[in-house]
Amino acid sequence: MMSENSSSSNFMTLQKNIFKRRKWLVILAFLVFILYNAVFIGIRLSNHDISGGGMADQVKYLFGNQGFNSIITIVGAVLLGIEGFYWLDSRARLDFYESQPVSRNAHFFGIVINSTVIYTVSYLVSLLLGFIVAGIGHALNLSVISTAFVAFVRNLFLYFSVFSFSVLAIMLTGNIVVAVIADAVLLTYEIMFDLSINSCLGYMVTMPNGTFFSTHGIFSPLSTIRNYMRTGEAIGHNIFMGIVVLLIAWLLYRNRKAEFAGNSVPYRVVRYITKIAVIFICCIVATLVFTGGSRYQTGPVCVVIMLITMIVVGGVMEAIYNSDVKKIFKGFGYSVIGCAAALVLFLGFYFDITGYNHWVPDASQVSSAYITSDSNMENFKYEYTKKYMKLTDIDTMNTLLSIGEETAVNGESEDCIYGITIYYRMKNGQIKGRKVNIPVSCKDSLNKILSSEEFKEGWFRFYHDESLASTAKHFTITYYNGDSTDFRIVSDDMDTYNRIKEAYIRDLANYDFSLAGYHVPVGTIEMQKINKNLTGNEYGEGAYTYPVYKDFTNTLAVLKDSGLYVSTKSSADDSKSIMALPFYVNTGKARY
Amino acid sequence: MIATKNLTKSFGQTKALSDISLTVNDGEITGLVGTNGAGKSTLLRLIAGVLKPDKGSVTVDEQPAYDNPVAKREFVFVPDELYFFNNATAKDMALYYASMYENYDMEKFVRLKNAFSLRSTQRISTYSKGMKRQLAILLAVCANTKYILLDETFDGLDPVMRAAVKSLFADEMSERGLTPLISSHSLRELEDICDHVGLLHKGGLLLSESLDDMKTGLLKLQCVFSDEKDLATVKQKLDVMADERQGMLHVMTVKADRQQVAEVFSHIDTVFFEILPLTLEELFIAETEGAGYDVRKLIIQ
Repeated sequence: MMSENSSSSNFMTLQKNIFKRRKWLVILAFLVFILYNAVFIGIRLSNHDISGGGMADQVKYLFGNQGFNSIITIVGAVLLGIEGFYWLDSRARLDFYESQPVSRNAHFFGIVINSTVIYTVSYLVSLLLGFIVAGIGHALNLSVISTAFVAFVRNLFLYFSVFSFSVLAIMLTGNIVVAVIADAVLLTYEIMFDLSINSCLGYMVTMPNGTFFSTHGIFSPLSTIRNYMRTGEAIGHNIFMGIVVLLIAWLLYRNRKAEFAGNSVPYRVVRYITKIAVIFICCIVATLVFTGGSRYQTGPVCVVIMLITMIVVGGVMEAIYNSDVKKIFKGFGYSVIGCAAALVLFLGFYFDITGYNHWVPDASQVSSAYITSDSNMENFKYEYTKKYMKLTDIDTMNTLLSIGEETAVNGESEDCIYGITIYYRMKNGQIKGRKVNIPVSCKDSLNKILSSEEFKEGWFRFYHDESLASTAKHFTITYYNGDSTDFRIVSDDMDTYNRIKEAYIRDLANYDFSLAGYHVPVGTIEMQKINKNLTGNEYGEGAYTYPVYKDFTNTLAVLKDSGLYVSTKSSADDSKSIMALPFYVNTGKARY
Repeated sequence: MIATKNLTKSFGQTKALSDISLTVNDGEITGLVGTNGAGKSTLLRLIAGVLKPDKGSVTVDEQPAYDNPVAKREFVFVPDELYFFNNATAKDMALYYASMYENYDMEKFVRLKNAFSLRSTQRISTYSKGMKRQLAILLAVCANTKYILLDETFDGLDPVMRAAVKSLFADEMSERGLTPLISSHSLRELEDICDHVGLLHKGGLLLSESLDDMKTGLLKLQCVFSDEKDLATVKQKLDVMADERQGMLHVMTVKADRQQVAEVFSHIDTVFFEILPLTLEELFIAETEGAGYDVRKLIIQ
């Protein structure tokens, strides 16, 4: 019993001492959280333009994952992690702390607990104050409170994970500045790795957007931060990786030698692995940046860029490792390994060793295909196209794919290039996509596809809008004139909608590539829908646009009849000069 | 008792300590002497449990020192590079030490602080180097631990303060049996307080002996012979380790006790004869000369 009392008293004493040492951090944490969760929310609520449910929605948004608390959490976790163990980089501080009657375990977990308490208490207190402010502003309800607490738990996991990485960075280094750099490398390396590989894939492989490589944030909590802030996903991953990383940091601390203090990166193996990994990424990024990501940039140029990057980055790293600019050529072999790995990857793409860029499917293995021209198609549009477009003319699709690849290899010399993504639905259920640029001289093939009912059904939402009446809480029809300088809008008018839809489908009988590729629309219809099960600013689906051409006489008649039509004001007479530019089919927007 | 056994420590390719076996007896002042880089600080940091030995062991009252709070409760370490919290005052540091060491004597601290004219509300960052050193020593002494480890203790202290600190150690030793282990690069700093001295050189322990033992077997003589031929007789009958001549005056270091010397000189006619106490420096010179070291270069500055 005495021993238990004594150990709990020692724990409290240690905590008290650590708190005293970290007074400034405690003050900072409270200040930042309160400024955001209470003061800022108060300011937002005092905005008289927002009222009623809108205010509660605002507060909910600010307390939720999308709010600034996640950013405060990341910065706070890095600060608490680095500051907690900063004394390990100084001999004087090490002599002071390590000679005192406190075990290394107690020291380590004392700081971990202390940091977590600072974060948790300051966050919770600020939330409490925020609730009071929201209550006064009549913007507090159970939904707001539950959103705030769910976000708090998620952020706590995020904090723990980022904090663990920061502690690991300190344990792997012996200098505070280098520790900060190491922390940045540890937290962002996976993002950089994914970005680099995806850039290679995006620029050098005929791979469609949205099917890119991803490590799925297996290592760094920041890799999935965008998804995390949107949906709060990856909680399990964060906490698991946090525990693993903290365990490694603890083992390193247990065996850490005091003489590491002041030594930038004391573990040789860490130096070399880091050097190889950083040079690998930097070589790829530099090559992509300086060659504009062109697959067809000459090989020697890429090699030269990589070699320069290797020398510069390797030199800087060695100067940091050794705190001596004269030692920039030390460990040159590891620079070469990193550069060689990047070169192998890059040349692998360059020479298309997987044969990905020359793949054309056997038509007998394909059940159907679909095609899009929009490289950044929103997910709901893509899903629609995927579901309803069932092109069966596989030979024509293959012809387009072959021409696209040939054009790319020979260089894009045509004036007007049409970017398309072709998806093949294989008979075994797989979907394989290819993104190529084809010249508009493929007019006949494109005419054949675009004029088919199979294409139109999968491209224009009017064909399959059965769920509109049952799922839409609210919808609008907007007509923009040709240069988008004026518009007319009508809300929730199902009769007008049905009339426009019927007329537009009739006009589509004349739709083909010759129309879409060579004529500028005289206007655009935009359909926007808010789903019933969503509130506030959250849209279930975005906007669909339908180009209206001069020959769409049925559609234009309905638009005029319903009062939506507005003419394009500008004419050739108003122009000082005219410039001819290639343009995107369907949207009518120019390609610069 | 603090004991090191075959203690070895390297920093990369540099061997800082090699096979050091040393005993610090309770109630004695032990001095560690050596030039800069001899390994004094490394040895103290190993004993304080800051560094982990590559080989060998360090025990404090038979408890291993490294990462062991039980052993660390028995000593307090005052390193050569002092550390105080940012913006801390003497009072803040005393409160911190009081929370770390259960027998910390705050009353004693206040008393000593006043005696040493240190202001408790003044920020330590504004103290002079000597004042910081005084404060560190006072904080350590008031921890009331059994052992106190002091690295370059007197560095930055003026002669008056050195005397005061030595007197403080003497009081603490007589009152509660404090055992100081003190390192210095200068033998002269330690000669009037040490009971036991270890001489470190290039990571090795050249000697570790009690001063009483060393003094017992060695004597310093000054004499002027009536007949210079008697010198040969003395050298024949006594183990003369050193003989320096200044005109007619011979200054000799002999390995013998007083009785032996008196017996030999009772048969020799001298104009002047005197037995003098040996300084620590002279003792070390005598002890290490045989090993081929010029101790003057190692420890006397």
